[in-house]
Amino acid sequence: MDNKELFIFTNLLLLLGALAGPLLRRSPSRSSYTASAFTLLAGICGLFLSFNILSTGKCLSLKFPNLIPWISFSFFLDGLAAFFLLVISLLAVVISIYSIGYNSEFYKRGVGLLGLGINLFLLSMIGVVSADNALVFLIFWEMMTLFSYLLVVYECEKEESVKAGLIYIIMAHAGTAFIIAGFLFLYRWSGSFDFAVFRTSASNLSGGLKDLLFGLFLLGFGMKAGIVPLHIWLPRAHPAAPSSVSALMSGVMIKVAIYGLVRMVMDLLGGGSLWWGVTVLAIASASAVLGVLYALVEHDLKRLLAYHSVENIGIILMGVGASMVFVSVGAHGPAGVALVAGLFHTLNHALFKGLLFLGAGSVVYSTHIKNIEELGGLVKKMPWTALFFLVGAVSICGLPPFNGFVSEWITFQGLLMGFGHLDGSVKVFLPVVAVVLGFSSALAASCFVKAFGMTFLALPRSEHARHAVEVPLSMRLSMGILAALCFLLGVMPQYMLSLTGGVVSTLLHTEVSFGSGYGWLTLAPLQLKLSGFSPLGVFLIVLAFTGGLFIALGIPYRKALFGETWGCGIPALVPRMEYTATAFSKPFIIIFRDLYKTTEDVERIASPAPLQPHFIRIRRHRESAGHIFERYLYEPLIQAVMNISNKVKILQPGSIHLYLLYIFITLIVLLFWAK
Amino acid sequence: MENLTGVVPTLDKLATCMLGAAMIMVMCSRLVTLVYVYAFQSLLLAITALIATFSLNSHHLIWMVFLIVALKVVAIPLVLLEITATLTIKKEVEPYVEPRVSVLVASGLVILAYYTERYILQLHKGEVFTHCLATSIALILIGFFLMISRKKAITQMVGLLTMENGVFLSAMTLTSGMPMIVELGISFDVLVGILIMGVFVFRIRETFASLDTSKLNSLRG
Repeated sequence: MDNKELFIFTNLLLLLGALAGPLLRRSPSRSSYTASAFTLLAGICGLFLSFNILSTGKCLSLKFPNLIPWISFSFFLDGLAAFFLLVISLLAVVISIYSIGYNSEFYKRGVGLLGLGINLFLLSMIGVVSADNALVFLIFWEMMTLFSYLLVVYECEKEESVKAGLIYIIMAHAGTAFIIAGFLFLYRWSGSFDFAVFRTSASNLSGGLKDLLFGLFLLGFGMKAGIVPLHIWLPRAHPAAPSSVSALMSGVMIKVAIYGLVRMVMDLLGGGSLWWGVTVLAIASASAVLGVLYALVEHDLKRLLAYHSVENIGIILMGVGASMVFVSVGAHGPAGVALVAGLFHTLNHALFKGLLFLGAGSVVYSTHIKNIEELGGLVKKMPWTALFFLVGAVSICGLPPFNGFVSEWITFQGLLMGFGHLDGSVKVFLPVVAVVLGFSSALAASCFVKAFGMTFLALPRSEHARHAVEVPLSMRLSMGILAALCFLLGVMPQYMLSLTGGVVSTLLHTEVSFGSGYGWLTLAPLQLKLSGFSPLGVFLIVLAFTGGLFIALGIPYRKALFGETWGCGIPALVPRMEYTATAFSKPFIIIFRDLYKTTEDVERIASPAPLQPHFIRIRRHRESAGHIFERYLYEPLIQAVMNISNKVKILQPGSIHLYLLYIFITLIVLLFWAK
Repeated sequence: MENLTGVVPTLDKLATCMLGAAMIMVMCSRLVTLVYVYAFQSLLLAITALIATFSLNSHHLIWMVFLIVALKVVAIPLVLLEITATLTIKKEVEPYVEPRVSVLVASGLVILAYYTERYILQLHKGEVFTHCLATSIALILIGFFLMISRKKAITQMVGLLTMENGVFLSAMTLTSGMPMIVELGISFDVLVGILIMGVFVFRIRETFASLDTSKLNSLRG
């Protein structure tokens, strides 16, 4: 089968899966299995297709010129598109396996719609990355928004979901408006909607117009990617959807926005002035730090993960932004390294964030609790889920031997290379961004200590957590695949890096290599002698060292003694004695109180008459972290819009005759104006 | 279009008669009369189409003649009469703008139509029936005015149908008959539109115990 057939097959299978969901809705299990099977097959086709393109470097071009008049339905899959297709297909495969078990949650409420939504959502994302025409791109982009919206409001009886969906769709459409404006400007100057024409005519554009286009695309795609301060929909919408969808949204959809940004700004506009890259880096730093800071005080497991998506989008954009800085000064070598870092982190984030969301979904599946304060002790009930969640947590914190470490290490390399290739204040700025990256990784680590510890360790804090059971095999299997990939890319990233390097090489017209003498063992960006590292070697050393320590201390030969934990003399240990998530995050609330804008509310209830008022019987302490952007940016904005709407409302009194009169007057004015 | 010169005066006269019918619709104060006049106007349109069929050699128009007679002269007026008979207590047209003033406004609209027609002709290359075109624009505008200035839902339906007659006339005079499929599409559009509006009329009547659409503004949230 050649690439063209594979591409058509992938899309057809997704369409069939979408149809199968609602058609077989009478039997929920059959509907769910069939839809998942089609998704699985489509995902495998997509994987083959993307590997074909990535390894041979042959692009795929497809045109359906006469489908709809005026729009040429043209698709073009080059390395960059194939790389994102790889991310999408990988998650599609995993999600389809996970859904087999997970969907039984929704058997009572029409699981067919879920199958329909997921398949069409995947289809539209594939359409976005493979489109070669601005109109086709926009059609699929809007489809992606609409289907993800439908999936967010899937549990529509929950008021929270509907509200989240509303915020999501408003912000997504605002973002699309910016993108449409950008495309229209490009159409005005190039006379065509084809990306190929955009690319050739972009060099003739004036600097000011290019700056405007960059601003529009950054706002438009940034809205979807969830950069600060446009991120507020993300922590609401991602957790509201079913967990398999959250994994897709956080793992893949926000990456499609990154694809859009890279495609438009770095490919079509061909990079630009220095301040573009600096702006992206500044936003990226803000997203990374604020995302993780908000995650620290969040106790809803899925929302915590969603805030980490904001953080990781920041890390991805650090790579992209640094690459833009280097391109603008003509340092193509470091630009390649930085972009590889961004793309590789895109893949890695899809893997470990997918894994974490599936893990959170498994926890919710067996306990129906999202608040980590009420969980705990699950490591004994759900050992596999705990293990996989731990792998994901270690990966997201950027610790070896997992994939997060590799991509963050390359990001560091890219940022620190700035010192040798740049002048002026930017020379200092890039290392500062690197410091921010280190800072956010450290905060992420402490956040996941909290998330994992509170969820899985110690004693269960609620009845539901006490009665949790391990999830079905299919769910464990899908998490296992992701965990294995996280590990594999953490110790042997060379093959994937060479593919990513190939993508970036064609995009930036430069050679990017990570190989050196022992290509399979070490990583050395640009073959610099000063920075090289061997992921596999590090892993083997750590393994040997801990193994040696284990044996040297004689642990395997000792006889294990099992006894109760000592409770300081108190006879029974109860969950109320445990350290809580609130207590864990309190130091951070104190340190960053200016950012959190915390409000405290202390309520004292005094004892009865004679002891009053000096003896207080009950003291309630309530504390909530406010969100500065919502308070200082969004609330005034919404207020202004409401004020204007109220004034415009006078035009709309509800009388048919008046509405007709408006049309009539417009018609007559136009008739006069026509001359 | 040599063979046209003979029929142009006839077509012009027919078009003028349609305009006259529209003026009567603006003036008349009884719903039943309104519907009869509309049927008469449609009949004139059918005759125009019949003449055009033979003079323009566009034979597909003959089907349109049958369609106009079947739908606009017979079916739709019958439906409207039925609605009038069953649903309304007061059989009068309730105008916002009283008939005498309405006639003045309609005359103004006719002048406007002739005025704009000149500019439309500048855009159009070939020969057209100039008088017919102006009349058809006037019909559209007067139909629109009927919709705005009358309260009852039935008058709005008649206004829309008058506009449609105008559109048909202008299509015929400008392009000597649009492709069959377009004509058919428009005709069925109107039919379906009238059916839907008929349903709405019943609903409005149920909800407000009246056909006065000015009461609809209480629906506004």
